[in-house]
Amino acid sequence: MKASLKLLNEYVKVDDYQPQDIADKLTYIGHEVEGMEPFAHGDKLVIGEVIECVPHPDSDHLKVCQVNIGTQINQIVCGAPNIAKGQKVIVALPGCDLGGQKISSGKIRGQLSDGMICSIAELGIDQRLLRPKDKDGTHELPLDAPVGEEALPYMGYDDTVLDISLTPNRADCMAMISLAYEVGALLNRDVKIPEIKEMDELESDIKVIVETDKCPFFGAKLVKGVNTKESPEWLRTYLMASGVKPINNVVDISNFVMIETGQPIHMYDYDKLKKKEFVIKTGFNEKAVLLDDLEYQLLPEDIIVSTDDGIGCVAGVMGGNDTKIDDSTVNIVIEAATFDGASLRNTARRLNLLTDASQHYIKGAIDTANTYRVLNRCASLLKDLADAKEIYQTVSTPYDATKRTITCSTAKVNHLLGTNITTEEIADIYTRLHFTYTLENDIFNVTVPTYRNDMSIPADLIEEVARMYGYNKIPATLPEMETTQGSLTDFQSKSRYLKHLLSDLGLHETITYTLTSPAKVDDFNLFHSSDAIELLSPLSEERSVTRKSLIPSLLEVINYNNSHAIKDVNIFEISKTYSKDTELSTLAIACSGLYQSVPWKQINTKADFYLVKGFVDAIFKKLNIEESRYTLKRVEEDNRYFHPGRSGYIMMGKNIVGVVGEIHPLMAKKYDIKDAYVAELNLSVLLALKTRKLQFTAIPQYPSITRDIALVMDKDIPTNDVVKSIQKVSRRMITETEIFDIYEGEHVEEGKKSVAISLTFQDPSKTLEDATVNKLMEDILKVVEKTYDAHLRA
Amino acid sequence: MDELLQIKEEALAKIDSCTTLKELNDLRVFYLGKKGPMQAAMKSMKNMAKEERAAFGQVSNKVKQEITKAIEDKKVQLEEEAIINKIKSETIDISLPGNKLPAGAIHPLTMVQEQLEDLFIGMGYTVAEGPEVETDHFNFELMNIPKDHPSRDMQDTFYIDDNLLMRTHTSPVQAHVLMAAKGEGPIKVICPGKTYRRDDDDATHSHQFSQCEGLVIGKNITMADLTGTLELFAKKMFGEKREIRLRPSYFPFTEPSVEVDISCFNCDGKGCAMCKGTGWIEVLGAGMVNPKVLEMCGFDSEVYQGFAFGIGLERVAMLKYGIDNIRDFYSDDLRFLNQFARKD
Repeated sequence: MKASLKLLNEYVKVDDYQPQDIADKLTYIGHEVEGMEPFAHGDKLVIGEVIECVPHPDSDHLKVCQVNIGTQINQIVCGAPNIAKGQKVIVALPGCDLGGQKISSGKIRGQLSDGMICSIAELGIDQRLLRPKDKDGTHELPLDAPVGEEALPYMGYDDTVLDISLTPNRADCMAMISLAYEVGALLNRDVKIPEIKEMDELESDIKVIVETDKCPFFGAKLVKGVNTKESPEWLRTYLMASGVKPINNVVDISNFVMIETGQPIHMYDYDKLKKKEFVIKTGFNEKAVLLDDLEYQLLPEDIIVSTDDGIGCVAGVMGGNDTKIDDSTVNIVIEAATFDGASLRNTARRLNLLTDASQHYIKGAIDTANTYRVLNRCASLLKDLADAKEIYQTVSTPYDATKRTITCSTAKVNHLLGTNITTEEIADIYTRLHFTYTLENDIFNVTVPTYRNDMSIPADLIEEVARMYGYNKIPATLPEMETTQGSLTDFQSKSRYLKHLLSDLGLHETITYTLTSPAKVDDFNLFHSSDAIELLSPLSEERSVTRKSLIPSLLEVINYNNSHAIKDVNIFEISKTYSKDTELSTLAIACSGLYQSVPWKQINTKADFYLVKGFVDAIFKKLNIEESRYTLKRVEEDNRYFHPGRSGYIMMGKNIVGVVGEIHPLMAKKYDIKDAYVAELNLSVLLALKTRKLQFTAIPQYPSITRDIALVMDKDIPTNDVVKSIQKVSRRMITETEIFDIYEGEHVEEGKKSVAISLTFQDPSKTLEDATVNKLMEDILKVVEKTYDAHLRA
Repeated sequence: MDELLQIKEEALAKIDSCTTLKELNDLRVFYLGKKGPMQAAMKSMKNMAKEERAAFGQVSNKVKQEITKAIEDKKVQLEEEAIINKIKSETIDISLPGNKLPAGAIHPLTMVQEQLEDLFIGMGYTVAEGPEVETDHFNFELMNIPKDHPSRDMQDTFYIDDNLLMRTHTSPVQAHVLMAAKGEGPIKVICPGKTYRRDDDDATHSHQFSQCEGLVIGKNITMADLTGTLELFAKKMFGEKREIRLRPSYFPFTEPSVEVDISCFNCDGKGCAMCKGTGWIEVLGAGMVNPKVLEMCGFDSEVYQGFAFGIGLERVAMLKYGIDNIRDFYSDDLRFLNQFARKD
């Protein structure tokens, strides 16, 4: 909201403060001043009189003027078409800074020019607020303007405009009077409410009928015999400083009254109404042309002020075309009403007509109890500024202003704030805020002013005390309470552990978007069987559903980095995945390019299946999930997401708890990357598993014996199955099995492979004898021969 | 006897001038072996008188010992020389880089989250999480934001249907925590997590972002306690010299509500580009939990009161690390992520 400090000063004295002080004070009581700007720019502007004005000898449009600036006469070359001898003008002296444009002495086509004669537009005022003549020519000041004096204060342009960000609960401060009450309370100063002179009021023939509960109050006041013309300068200036473009005195008054009181005003041309009747109702379903000459589709829920059975006004949003006032309007019906903000918001949004007036209703700036006064203020201004001849009585719906009373005690204030504020201090604050109260035993019974729509509970009253007392005077303590045990849950701590494990192992943690596109949402999905969650009104198709797998996001990260010339991408993410009724904690890993590289030593570890499987193995091991609890099952042959020959599901019983593999080349194509090796784990399951307690086992005291064997078997036999069957021969004595070579080719039969395994034997209770090991070796060979037809390599 | 001494002189001289271990070994075999000059000299012992023989024996033993020791000493010396000679050929270029170990990194938002978690866990807070796909009831109604409330305008929401939405803040976790406590305090909890708003992504807006909510409920929790807690937060996260400033604000779920600024850590409050010349930087919103929220969540607001705060993790990370584009957090450019591969 734009607030003119000079206008504020009309209601509460602030002109003895620097604008910055007022801005700071407003911010400290909760009305954040986000910006501050002078209304007009220019530091050396004086009033001058053109005492001579002759054509420039070398130009057909420039004039050479002698301008009396009080202390001396300056020659100024001027190009404005309207410049003439005898005019009082605004002169920018050399050195003047017109908001970026610096004025200096110089010669213009050979003629000395000591300054510049200014138009209004040249003073840095928002061009949209100006008339054509403000831009086209120099500004003519009244003939009695005092020569030599500063121009801006004389014109009332020495104003500062504050840009205030009001909190949603304080829309009442859109009214300058409310804002003045705030400043008055803080500075402990009186607030001056404009006086309205007694007017002789005639009886009105207007009828008001309200047929909807969305209009709690409607008031109409007839004023006859207005004379539409330009507003006086003071009014035009205040409007411009408030960011409103002046139109004519009648429209300007309605806008000014809204700025002053927060109450939107609408005006109807009385003579255009056949029936002098206003019916406020809903239920219209038709097209209507409004006063901007555009056609709008109205719907039954829109609140309409109906006149002559037509659309007199779309309530609080914009007036109808048939009843609008224009330059020839003489008799006016002024409307000041209260409409339901929520309903109005829907209408205004749908019609794309979020007008100033509608914002006042939507945000709740209206003080219904004040409406009669507002109508009188309008009439009074019309009388003063638009020569209104006859004022008629206000016609309205009945309104019963119930007073809101809230109770609060000194003890309660201090108990919530942690302060020692006295009853007297609190009483003083409420008085300054114009709250009336009764006080008994330190208990306040407070009646709040009608414009304070935000006040309803004791905490609101306490906040008022805090605001005026000063938030920064509240001491800083730490809670004194029962001791609570701070900790992460088991799940949180495991999840955090995994992030550090994987980043320590060389992966970068990513955080990617939850929202994805329907075209990708089912890719790589393993854990979700329900439909994807779709947004009702997404910002784009690309971000319209919640993801079921993290892998597509990670592939996008690979693509992003590849396209920025980063080939080696090794990443992971722990985030939620979703489907209808299911939210799972999920971990995904993706590797592409080199994992490790020491180029000058020719060390280049490429990402491959076994790298990613290594990460998965590490995770299971570190989480203390024994190998016996899960198996790896090759993915389906027709799987289109994972490379069927190079991917497997991690199974726990019949459930898929994860996957590790290479992405299908079709997916590499879709995601526009070369390749990627990925894994995804369902952490909701894995981190919730019961695992064995971490327990120390004594270091073996007896020596171990190592034997290497090479077994020849069919090459399609999963090597690890063979290893597992070996381990089973004696879990007690076979302490380590390490595959150290896989060989196919010369000296090995076609279709077979040779697997070399190093076996470590150890007896925890005594020194192992060769004979025992020999026996175990025999057993091992028997088992692998029987189960896998594997033989010792010759 | 003289013969023995002569052998000794000769042996010691040869040992001394010996240059290889092989040579030394040959000398050992020659002098101490069965066919050497010592053995030959010993043969003459047979013909000696008893006393003379004893004296000869003594001398010969001494000579043997001396030769043995000389050989041992020489051996140690030669071995050392051999090592030193070998080392001379083993010089490498120590200026070459060490093996570049695969080095990953924690995401900066995680770093900030963990710092906050550790800070508050140290003060007895637990960490709670809630659903990101949330009901309108929890996200809005229980946060005292009824339908058509003006502040629903402030947060444009990704609705899924009339009832479900992507949570717009972590505040609804407050309600989950309160409900679970069934009206019994005390509560001390922080709730970090992802949040979503219907904003177009640009340098300062992101449709997805993260917050960390804090909630303390007890019988005597005051706004002064909130101030103290936030002051501690500011000092721990941004440095011991930080001060905080509170400004009245408005959130439907707190009353009174505050906006919290910290003194600018870039200029120490003198005013710079980072704080737009004000010396203060806005970091978070907070307030005393609105009694209506407490009541709706099953707490007696006459008995219990407390404070809540909401911290934007991106905001903290951006301020702490000088990041100026919020999109950097989500594009996961490795050139960005790599900069966080170290201790903060």
